[in-house]
Amino acid sequence: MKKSWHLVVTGTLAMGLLAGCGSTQQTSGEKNSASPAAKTAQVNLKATVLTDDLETFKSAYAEFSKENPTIQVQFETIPQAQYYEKLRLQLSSGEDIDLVGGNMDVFLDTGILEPLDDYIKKENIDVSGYGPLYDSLKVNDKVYGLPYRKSNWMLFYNKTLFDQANVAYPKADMTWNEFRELAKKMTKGEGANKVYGAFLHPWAQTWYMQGVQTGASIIDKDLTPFKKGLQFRMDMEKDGSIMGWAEQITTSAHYNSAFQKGNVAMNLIGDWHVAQLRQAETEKKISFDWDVVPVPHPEGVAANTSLATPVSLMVNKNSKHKEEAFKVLQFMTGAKGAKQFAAKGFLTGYVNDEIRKIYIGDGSMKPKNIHFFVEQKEYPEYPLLPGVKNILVNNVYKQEGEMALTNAETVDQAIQKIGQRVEKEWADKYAKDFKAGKK
Amino acid sequence: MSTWTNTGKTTIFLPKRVPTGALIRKMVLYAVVIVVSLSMIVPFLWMLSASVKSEAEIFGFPIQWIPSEFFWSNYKKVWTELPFFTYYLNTIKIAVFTTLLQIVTCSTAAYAFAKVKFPERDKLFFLYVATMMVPYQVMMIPQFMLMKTLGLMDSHWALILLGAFSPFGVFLFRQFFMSIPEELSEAARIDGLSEFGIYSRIILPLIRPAIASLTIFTFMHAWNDFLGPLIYLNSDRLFTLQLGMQHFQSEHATEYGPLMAAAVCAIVPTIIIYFMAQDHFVEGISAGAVKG
Amino acid sequence: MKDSSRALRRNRITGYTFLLPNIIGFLIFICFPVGASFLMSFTEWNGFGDIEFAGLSNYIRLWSDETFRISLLNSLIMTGVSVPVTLLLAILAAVALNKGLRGVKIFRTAIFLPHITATIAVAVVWQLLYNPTMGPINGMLRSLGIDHPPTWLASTQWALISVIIVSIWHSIGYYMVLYLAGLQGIPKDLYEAAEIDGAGKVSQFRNITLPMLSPVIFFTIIMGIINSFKVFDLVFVLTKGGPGRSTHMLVYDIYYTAFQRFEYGYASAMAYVLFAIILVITLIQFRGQKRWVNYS
Repeated sequence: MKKSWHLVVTGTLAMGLLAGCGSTQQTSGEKNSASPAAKTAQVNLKATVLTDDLETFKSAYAEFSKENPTIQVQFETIPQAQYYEKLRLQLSSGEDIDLVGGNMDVFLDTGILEPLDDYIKKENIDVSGYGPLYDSLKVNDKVYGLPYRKSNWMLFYNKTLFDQANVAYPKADMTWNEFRELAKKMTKGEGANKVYGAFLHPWAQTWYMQGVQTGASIIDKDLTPFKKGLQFRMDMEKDGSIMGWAEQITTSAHYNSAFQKGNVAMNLIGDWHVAQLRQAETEKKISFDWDVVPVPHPEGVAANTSLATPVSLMVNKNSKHKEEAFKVLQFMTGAKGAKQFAAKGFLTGYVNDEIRKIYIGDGSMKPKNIHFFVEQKEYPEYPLLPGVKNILVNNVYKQEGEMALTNAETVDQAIQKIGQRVEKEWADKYAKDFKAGKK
Repeated sequence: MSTWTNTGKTTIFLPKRVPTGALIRKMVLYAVVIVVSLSMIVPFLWMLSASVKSEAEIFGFPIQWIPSEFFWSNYKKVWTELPFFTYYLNTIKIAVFTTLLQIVTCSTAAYAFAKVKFPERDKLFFLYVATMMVPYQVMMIPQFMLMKTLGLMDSHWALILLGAFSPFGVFLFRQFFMSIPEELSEAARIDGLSEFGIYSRIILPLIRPAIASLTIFTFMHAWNDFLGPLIYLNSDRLFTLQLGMQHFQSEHATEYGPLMAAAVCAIVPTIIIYFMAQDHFVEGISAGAVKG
Repeated sequence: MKDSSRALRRNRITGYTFLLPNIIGFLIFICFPVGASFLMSFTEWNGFGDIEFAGLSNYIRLWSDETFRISLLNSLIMTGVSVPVTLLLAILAAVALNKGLRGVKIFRTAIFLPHITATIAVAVVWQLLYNPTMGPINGMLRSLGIDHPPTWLASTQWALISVIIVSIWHSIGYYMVLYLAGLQGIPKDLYEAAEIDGAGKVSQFRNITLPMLSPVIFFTIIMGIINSFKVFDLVFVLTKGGPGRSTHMLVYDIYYTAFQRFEYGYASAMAYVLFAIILVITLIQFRGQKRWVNYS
């Protein structure tokens, strides 16, 4: 008997602790349930979008529903790490999701994306706002989704560090070699007081972007442009001006905390870092001044050439209300939605002068030279082809790149291996279907 | 109490032989146990310290155990930005139901496998063991389709049902049942006790340590499960702690401070439960009952 | 004859009655999905459209799949090293903590703690311990006169062993709990009798503790092997399978194939190769148990 009594006490204590711990807040869970106005001709749609974009979609939808009161959209999200995993599982079991947000390449093999060309023609949509992205997002000449935002790369720099070292700020037009020299100049100190000239996150993109900037694609037969990029990263490690790969891996180094710490002069990363730094500023976690310039470029490539990763909105072919779903898509990815997204600090797929202005803002917020983001010439990070999943190709680059970075292989061997594996992974099976939107 | 009397006995025996040797042995034992325990605690301490740090300081090197400035705001964020209390209740519900169901169904099944002789027994038992060898990642898809067909999506029952019939628990109990002498149940049978009576009055009390172990494992597993809730739950109001915590992770950024604060809040109850329940697998059997 | 067949029938009814609550759920929620995934291993399916029958092609493809070969080898090494070491250390820990030290509850909780600590915290701390230049492990090695200590997680040669060490550290507490429960089933008077006979501690351990614990040891060996082949979380947070593919494990590969490639059929085939391996090992165990497992 004594034991069961003990169990009861244990249980009660635990419950009591929980109740005590959390009695103050229990409301916020129930707030967001929409109250649908009961109209007869109403259409209910469901959209699943990335966590980061959920809030903006909701506020953009508020605008949308003023024009289209009969279309109700319920926006949902899935935790980031398993977003595609779960979304595909839901879609494959026939769940009624009308609109899907995310990287298009993940859905190309599912056959559930509704081709949009007819809708675009019917609505007479002006696609010039998407620029060259519109064509490069075509798969076998068809449009399966439109980008509502994109991620572009930029070079962030710590102005305070440059001032202290009395070195001129990075130039807007800078080759990779100039960048390397500048990083060397900014590197100082040892151990805990070390100042790194630059930070290259351990992602493979930080080196293979040099190849993409020349217009090469990561599934090309000839991968010479990428060899340079990998060699470049290793050279910078040797210079001691960036944190070594091994060091990064074993200290869980992250571009965000590394740059915020204040001992990194230049940080090569995407536009999303702007929001992170702004947040850190409002929370008073950083005290230095910072700005952006375009990413460095290979010799002979125009300045401010970057790579872009578009994030699209797509219509489920099995949706019962495709017309209405496209209306939502049209709004979100077009000029009206873009305004909302730009106002929240996202680079949008659709761009015009007005949206550019909104994105740049009134100059009251850092970075001062944010305009570079909307003036970029961009290559898509990866080609959109049926059968090519970016994450797989990227993984090959990552794994074999690491072989070189840990000196288990030479750069030549690593790149050769990448070629072989990419071919086996993709070209063997799909080369006959190859007809990319890329020029 | 039995542990202490045990110590008493050893000290009675030992001084007669090598008193200093025993003392040294004991000290070495303490030293080893303390060092090992410390090495086990370090990551937990890191969690605690990270939960009150700023983002930039969390990954600093060498580790700064006491943050230069305490960011209690991380905890505030957890409790104000998330319906954390709802997550708690959901997690408790799932963990308690899964554990209870599992203890009941696994112990009866194990009784059949260990104490009742019927021809298909061993083959059936091996089928149970065999299913444990298939990785969850592969069963996930058929299970998902099944739950969808049963209409249990976005409900806690999907998780409870999937956790309630674990072959692991059956196997665990069966091993413990097997070590209980057959004579005990024979004697009870002669005394006219029914099979259910033998199970509930003779065998179950004897395997209390095993029940305590399975309770801990099942509870912890249900409590810490991430993949299951991720797949079966869609509505925020049904989320568990592990799932809710994901709010601090997004495409490009993880807010490690709040994430660790949430992890600390989530882990504390489980530690307390473990700390208290462990008595049961230590004080379980009185020596007399198993003399056989 | 009549009698024994009646007894058989009665036993059968008793057996199935006791099994019933579990076996219904087991067949529906576990057995059926396991069977379904077996069938899936002979098909090609990405979750959409028709499921195409593919015969043995998935299994044939495994032969030429380099990543699978690497993963299989890594998993075998991992299991071969970590299971015996973990179980041995767990038994020692359980025996030591069963001796009635002061503060034993705290020690037991401490040793179980890694099992419930967030894996991300585990990863971060071990990464720091393994840090090649500033980490304490290499600091110690250097002070012992080793000039070029390994770079651990950042080395293709050492990463696997580093992961194995963490996994051992991580699972000792889990098995210790089971051994502690098992130790409680050993009647104290057996030790008292041995003590009177003048048996030393080591011989008591060999002649009383181990045989009496053998049903639990048998259980932990089977579970240890299964769990070790199925390790996923730790690898995921520590190395993501890298550097290169040096810590790519089977279940990691299965996960990757199912949820990044979305080739469910192929992933199922991988799982069933893994299944076959564990099955053979387990069958051998079950055959051999009569020789050493002591059921009362």
